Amino acid sequence: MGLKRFIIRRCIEILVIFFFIMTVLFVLFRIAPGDPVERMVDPSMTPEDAQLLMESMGLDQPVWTQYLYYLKNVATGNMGVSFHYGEPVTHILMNRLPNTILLFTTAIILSALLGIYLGKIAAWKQGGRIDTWMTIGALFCHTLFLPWMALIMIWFFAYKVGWFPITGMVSPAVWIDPDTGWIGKTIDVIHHLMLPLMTLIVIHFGSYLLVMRSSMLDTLKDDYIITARAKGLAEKEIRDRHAAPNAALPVVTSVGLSLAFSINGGALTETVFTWPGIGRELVFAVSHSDYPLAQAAFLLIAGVVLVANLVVDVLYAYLDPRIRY
Amino acid sequence: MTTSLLDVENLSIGYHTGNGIHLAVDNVSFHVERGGSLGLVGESGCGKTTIGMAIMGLLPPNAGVVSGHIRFEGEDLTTVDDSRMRKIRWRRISMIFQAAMNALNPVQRVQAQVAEAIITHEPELSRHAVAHRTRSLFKLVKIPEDRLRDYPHQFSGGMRQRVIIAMALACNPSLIIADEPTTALDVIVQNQILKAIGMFQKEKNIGMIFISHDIAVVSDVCTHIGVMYEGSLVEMGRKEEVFYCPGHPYTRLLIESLLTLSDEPADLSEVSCVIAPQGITGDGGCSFNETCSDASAACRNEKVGWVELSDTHRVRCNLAGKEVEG
Repeated sequence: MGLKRFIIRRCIEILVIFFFIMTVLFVLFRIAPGDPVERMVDPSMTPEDAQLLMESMGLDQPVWTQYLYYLKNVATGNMGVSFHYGEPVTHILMNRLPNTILLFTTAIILSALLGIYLGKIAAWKQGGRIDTWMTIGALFCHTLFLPWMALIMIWFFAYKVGWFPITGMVSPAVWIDPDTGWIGKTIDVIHHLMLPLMTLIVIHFGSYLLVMRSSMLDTLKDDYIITARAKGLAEKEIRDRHAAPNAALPVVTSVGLSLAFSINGGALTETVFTWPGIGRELVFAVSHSDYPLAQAAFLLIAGVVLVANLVVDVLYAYLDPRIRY
Repeated sequence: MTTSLLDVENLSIGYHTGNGIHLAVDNVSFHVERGGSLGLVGESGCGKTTIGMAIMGLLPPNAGVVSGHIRFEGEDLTTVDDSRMRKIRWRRISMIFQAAMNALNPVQRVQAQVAEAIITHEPELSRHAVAHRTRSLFKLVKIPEDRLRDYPHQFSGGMRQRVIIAMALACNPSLIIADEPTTALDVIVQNQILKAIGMFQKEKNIGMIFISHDIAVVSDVCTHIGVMYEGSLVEMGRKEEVFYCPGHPYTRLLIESLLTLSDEPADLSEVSCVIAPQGITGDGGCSFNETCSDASAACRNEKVGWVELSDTHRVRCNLAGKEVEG
C-alpha cells in the first residue's frame, strides 16, 4: 500500500534529519562558552586529579574521536550521567517525558477540537454577532501572555475558589496511601492536570479557531458546496459533512507546527505549574550547566518533534486522500 | 396550452450591486415539456446559468427573482419555502455541473457521494437497497465496479463527469439542468458524454435544460433552442428552425462564427465586439443594435417585441418580420 511506503520513506528521512541535529548539537556544545570540567572540578582538586577526571570523560581525546564516541553513545542510549543528579540522564528524561506528552498532547488536541468546532460555527455565521464575538475572543486569548494567564488561573481557581491544587502533578499523600487504587491515582493526576490544561487551551484554541474560520470561509465558496446544496441536503449536513472535513485540513498542519513549539515553549508552563516535564528539566540543566542532561534533553525534544510530525503527516494523509503517495 | 413540466413566465432576476439592482435575466419566458429538451445558448454572462440556479433555488445571496414565475409540475418555485425546495432539489430537479468545476467533494469516496443523494431523499431505503442502486447507477454510466471506492482525484475529467451524471440520475428526477456539462472536456470525451446524457434523457423521459455557449453542442442534444443575449431571450424555436433558419442577427453570428472556424479564420473584429456585454440597455431599443450590421435608427430607439416566424419559432427582432415579408 502507498501509505506504508510513505511512512517508511518518512522514517528514513527522520533518521537523516536526526543525524544532522545530533551533529549540530555536538558542535554547539563544543563551541559553547564555559568548560564542562570547570563545573565538575573542585577548586581544591590538584591539577593531576583534574587531568585524570578529563581523561575519564574522554575530554583529552581529539574532537573527531569524541564525536565518534558521542555517536556510539547516542546509538546505544548511553547519554551519560547527570552532573547534578548523579543518575543516568536517559533514566531522568524517560521519567519526565510521559508527563510532558500527557500535558501537551492533551492540551493541543483539545484546543484544536475546540478551535475547529468554534471556527466552523463562526464561519457559518460569518458577519453575525456570534462570529464577531468569537473572532474578538479568539484574538484576545491568542495574544494573552502565558505566564500572566497562568498566574491569573492559579490565583482564581486554586487560591480563590480552591477547585484545583496550586502546583505539581500528584498529591504525595494520595500516592503514599496504600488504599489508593489506580482509579484514585488517575483522578489525582487529572485533578492536577486541569489547571495547566485549561491555561494551555485558553492560550492555544484561538489560533485554531482563526485558521479554521478562514479555511472554512474559503471552503464554503467551493463548487462541491453548491453540489451538496443542489442535492437537497440540510444546511447542517452541508456544514458538517462537506465543508468542515475539507476546512479542517489546514488546522491539522498547524497542530503539527504547534506540537513542536509547545514542547519547547512548554518550559514556561511547566515551570509556572511545577509540572515535572522535559521543558522544566531542560531549563534546569541549562542554568546549572548540566551538560549531559541538557544535551540529552535537546536530542529527546528533537526526536519527539520529528515523531509528532510524522504522526501528523500520517493523519493528514488519512484525512485527505489526495495526499497519499 | 397543455401543462408543461416547467413553465418559466416573464422571469427577471437581479443582482444587488454597488449601484442598484443589475438585471441579469430580463423578462424571460419558456417552457419545457415532459421528456423535452431545451438548449439555452449564449455567451458568458448572458444569464443562462443564473436561470438554472434560479430554478434550483440556489441563487447567491446577493441575487433574487425580481418578477415572474417558475412553475414546475404545477408548483411555483419562486414562492415555495426552503424545506419544500430542499425536497424538490435532486428528487425532482437535479443538475449536471460543469466538468471543469470541482463539483465533487475531494475527501469523500465517489460512491458515498452518489449514495448520499439517495439517502437524503429516500431515507426509508435499506442500506442494501441504497448500495444496490448506487452500483447500478455506476454500471449505467459505465464506471467499473472496482472504482466505486475511489476518490474524485483518481478519476479523469470524463470519468468524473460520468460520476456527476450518475449522481444526477440517482433519484429519477423529472427535470435535469445540465450547466455546461461538457465544457473543458476534450472533443472525443465530450462526444461520449453528450451521447450518454442524450440517451438517458430520452430513455428515462426526463425533461432537460441544457445550458451551453456552444450552439453546435446544443443542437446535438436538444429538440428546442433558446438563444440568450444580455439577459434576454432573443430567439426560440425547434432546433432545426433556429439552427438552419436563424431569425435573429445574433443567432446568425453564433452560427456563422461556428462555420468560419471550420474553413477559414473568422473575422475576429466582428466576434470580439460581442464578447463583452454591457448590461441591459433598458427600454431604449434592442440591446444588440451596436453589433448588428442591419441596425436602423428604429432598432436603437424603439422597443423590440416578439415576431412569430412559425408556430414554434419566435424571434425578438424588429427586422425579422420584414425579412420574412421581403
